[in-house]
Amino acid sequence: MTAKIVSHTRWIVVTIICGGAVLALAGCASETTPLDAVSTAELAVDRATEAKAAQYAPLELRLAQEKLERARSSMSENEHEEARRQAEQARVDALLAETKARSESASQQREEIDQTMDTLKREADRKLLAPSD
Amino acid sequence: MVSDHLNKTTVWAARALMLNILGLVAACAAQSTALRGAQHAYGEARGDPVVVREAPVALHEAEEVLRQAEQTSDEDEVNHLAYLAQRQVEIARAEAKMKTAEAEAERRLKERDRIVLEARTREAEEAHAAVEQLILELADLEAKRTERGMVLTLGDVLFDYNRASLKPGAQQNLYRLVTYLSEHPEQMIRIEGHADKTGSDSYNLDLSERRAQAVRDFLIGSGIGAERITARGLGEAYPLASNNTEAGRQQNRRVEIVLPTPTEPRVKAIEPAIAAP
Repeated sequence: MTAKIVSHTRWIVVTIICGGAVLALAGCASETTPLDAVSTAELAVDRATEAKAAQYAPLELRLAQEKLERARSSMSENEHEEARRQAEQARVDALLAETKARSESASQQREEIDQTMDTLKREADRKLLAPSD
Repeated sequence: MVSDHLNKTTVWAARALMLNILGLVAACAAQSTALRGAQHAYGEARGDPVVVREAPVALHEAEEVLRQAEQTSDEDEVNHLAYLAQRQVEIARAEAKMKTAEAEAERRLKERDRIVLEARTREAEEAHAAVEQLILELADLEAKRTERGMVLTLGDVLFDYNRASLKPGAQQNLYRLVTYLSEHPEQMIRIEGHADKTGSDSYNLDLSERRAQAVRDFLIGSGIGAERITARGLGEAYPLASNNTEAGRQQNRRVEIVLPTPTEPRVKAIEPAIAAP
């Protein structure tokens, strides 16, 4: 009876320790290789540049470019962990730059439409007020 | 003795548990400001119905990275993942803003098209009504709607015999036309003189041309811009009736004032060139 309790408690201890170890390992595991991360970041920077991020989100674009540069030099110095992190950050910076740029041009387009709408409405009002016969 | 052993094991278990908890707490404490910042940003975005509606995928990605960061113990990696999560939240927000602006632009484009269409319809209706009214008022001038536009015919009786000058009665009739033309400055005017077959071709051509010119001069004298009016003589080439009877010949001696149907309404000119998003 007592022996059973003892072995039971031991199992709990083992389980808890092992569980902790598994959790710790899972945390350290990384998904992408640095090389993949760098080429993904390059693509993202290109897309952002195409979306006129230099004009609409210069800060984010510059961050992305600097980090991409750092990722490349870390790669050449065999600092793979650092290279991966810099590249991954460059990717999200570039994606943010691209999205902000697209958002900005959408807003501008909306404003342009607003302006022409005003012109149209004024024109329509003028016609309506003008004597029509 | 047995209970002693039991106690000992329990204490060990408790200690191990404590260690793990401490580890977690440490991880949570290492939950650097960066991670807390990202969690906060994510929570706020999650509570924004516009972001949830317009950028669900980006928001979900932020959540995934955040979970990953929360389960990571290495401090540098946590900070790195927290940065990614933070940026992902900002991306979700920017995307929501973009979608909203795009939808708004789309909505306004439709509104604009509606206004343009309404304006065009109204202009067309107004122009139509004005011409109908003019036809009624110019009954004496035999106004007719034709494919060439509206055609007003000044009969031979409105000119002095074999002369190009307009009789006072004709001028009376033309005043209403002058009013219409000054109210419709975009309306162009084509004046065509016609003759019958009596007399030489060159004389007829000359007379028809002088009569057309006389009408043109009258309109210009009434304040209509010369650049809107063209006048020419067509001689006997376009008879309306037979030249064998006096009645027919009289019909053929005439001046026609053609008001070509205006082309597109001017609204088109201010239409902007914006490509659809």
